[in-house]
Amino acid sequence: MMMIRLSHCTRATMTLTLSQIFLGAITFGIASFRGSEAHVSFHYATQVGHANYAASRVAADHARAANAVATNNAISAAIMGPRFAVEADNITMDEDASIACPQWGNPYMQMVCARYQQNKPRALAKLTWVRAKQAFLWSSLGKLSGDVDRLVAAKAAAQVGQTVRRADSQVSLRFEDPSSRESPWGASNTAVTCTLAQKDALASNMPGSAFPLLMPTLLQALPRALVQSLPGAICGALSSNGPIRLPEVPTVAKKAREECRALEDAMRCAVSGGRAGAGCGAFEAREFRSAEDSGETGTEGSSAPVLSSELQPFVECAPLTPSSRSRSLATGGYTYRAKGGGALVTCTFDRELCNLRKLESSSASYLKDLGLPSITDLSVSAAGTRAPSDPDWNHSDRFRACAFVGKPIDDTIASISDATRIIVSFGQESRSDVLRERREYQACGKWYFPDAPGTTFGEVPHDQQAFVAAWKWAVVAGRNR
Amino acid sequence: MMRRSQSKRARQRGFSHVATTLEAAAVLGWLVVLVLGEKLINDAVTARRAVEDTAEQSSVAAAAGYCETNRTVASTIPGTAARGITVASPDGKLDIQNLLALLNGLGIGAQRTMTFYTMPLRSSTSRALQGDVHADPLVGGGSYTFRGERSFACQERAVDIPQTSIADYRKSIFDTNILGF
Repeated sequence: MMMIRLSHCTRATMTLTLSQIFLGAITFGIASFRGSEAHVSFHYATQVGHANYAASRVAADHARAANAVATNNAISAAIMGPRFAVEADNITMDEDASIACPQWGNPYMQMVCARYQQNKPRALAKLTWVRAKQAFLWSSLGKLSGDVDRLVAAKAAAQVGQTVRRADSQVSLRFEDPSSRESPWGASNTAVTCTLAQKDALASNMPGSAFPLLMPTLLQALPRALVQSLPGAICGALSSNGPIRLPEVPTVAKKAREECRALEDAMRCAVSGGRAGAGCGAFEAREFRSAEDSGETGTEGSSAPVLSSELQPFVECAPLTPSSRSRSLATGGYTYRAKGGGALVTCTFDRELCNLRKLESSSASYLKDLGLPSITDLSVSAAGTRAPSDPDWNHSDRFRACAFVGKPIDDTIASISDATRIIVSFGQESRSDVLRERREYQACGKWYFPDAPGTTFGEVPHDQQAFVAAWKWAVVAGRNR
Repeated sequence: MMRRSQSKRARQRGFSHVATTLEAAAVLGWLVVLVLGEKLINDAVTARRAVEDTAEQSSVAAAAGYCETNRTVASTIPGTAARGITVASPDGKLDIQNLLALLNGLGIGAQRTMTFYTMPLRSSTSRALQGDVHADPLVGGGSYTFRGERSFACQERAVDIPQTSIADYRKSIFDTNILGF
């Protein structure tokens, strides 16, 4: 009886114990599986987080560096405008003096001359100051613009690496950043900056501000005309207002007039020489002075005049017709009869066109003779303002930084996951290679310029330097390795 | 007679033994532990996932936005609450003090867009994001709090115009140093 009871009791106990073990095993298995699953899940989430952080941080700092370059450009333009104005005022003062001082008998002119001699040193001091500051600022800011992107990005990458290593020393982190190999700000923006500075100066009260404070001026329009021309003389920038002409400068206007007169004389010589075969001493060609002269011609005829290349743009020769005759009367023309008693040919000289062209060349020559310190000899790497190297500047794929993060799954966790699956599948499953596969996660950040008016970096509103409102995005994608 | 017969049958099945009864209770107790443990793990995983997700969302949102403090990002997981906090902690030194002194001497420094110039040079500026989550009270009550943390980068908020006005800078230079000769 006792044996039977013991047997029943033992059987029940064994059943319970086995149930307990079974439940325990299931509990342990589920907990292990859930734990390993959660570990793996958070492992990937953490790597993604690291990659996202790294890419967004580096991209954001690239964007901030871009804004620093844009501000450098703005400051460089801001110092160049005052330089244009002070240069123009000083040149105007000199021209005023060259007009006023020789006129000994004119009391007003002598007063102007005296004021010039009295105040020129002050104006010269300002000119020296603004030239020095402009040169120093352009040099310093240009160098900073060339370096800031690389330095900021390198520092950001180093800090990201430090932060990630502090969170997990087993994480491997690398970057793909085209800007770290070559500065994205490799193009010169000097011409654009000077043009913007000129436009800003013209819209301000800076040109001519020395007058009448320092002295009265005889050439009211000259400071503004000079400011329009100085980007070309100092920066080598093409003027946005067309060719430079300074008719306000007496010497320039006089030189242009004299050159045109000489050219017209040369044409007359050529026509005369062609007809008579003689020099300019005997002007047998007839200038149209009046309508009565138009029918008078020589009879023996002559070959076509030989015009120099300098003369050709301003001379037009054509058979005499009623319309060419009236044009000749208006502009001054010379006739000859073609060889062999042919038709009358009239040659006209375009005085207006000549005056414009000669004004341009003599203005350029005048500015060159002034010997203004130029910035065109500054190399891009040393100084100046910067623009993106990529022509596709606001859609450039180079403005992108990608971070790659990877870390192997903890082997213990992988073993637990393997064991659980093997037990649950009654040995059908095997060791997981997929779980152990090394994955690298990529995140990219991009910064860009907003679409501004115009298609180039420099084509911005006339009174504003383009501010680079860079932005960035981040996208994460898993990548097997 | 009847009661004795049932008692005998029970003894024969082994449930009358104290140890056996206790062991049965332990099995049942284990079942309870199993269920509660699963709930505990599930809640904890959910809570932490909420933190991770919210921290990630906050990080991306903050990285895509401007440098602001106390940006709040709502958790997308029901039953959880999370917030992202941005903390500005500039810890870098400017390495261009001489240049800035020169600019200040020219009257440059008070322009609205000057921040865009100086802040990038504080390249060691760091930001931190914290995400807290309070999961539903688990069995037995209580609130489980996890903390997810992300560092991120941000950009200074632009002023009201997308361009830097040259005139702002030029006025300072000209009025301070040249005007009046």
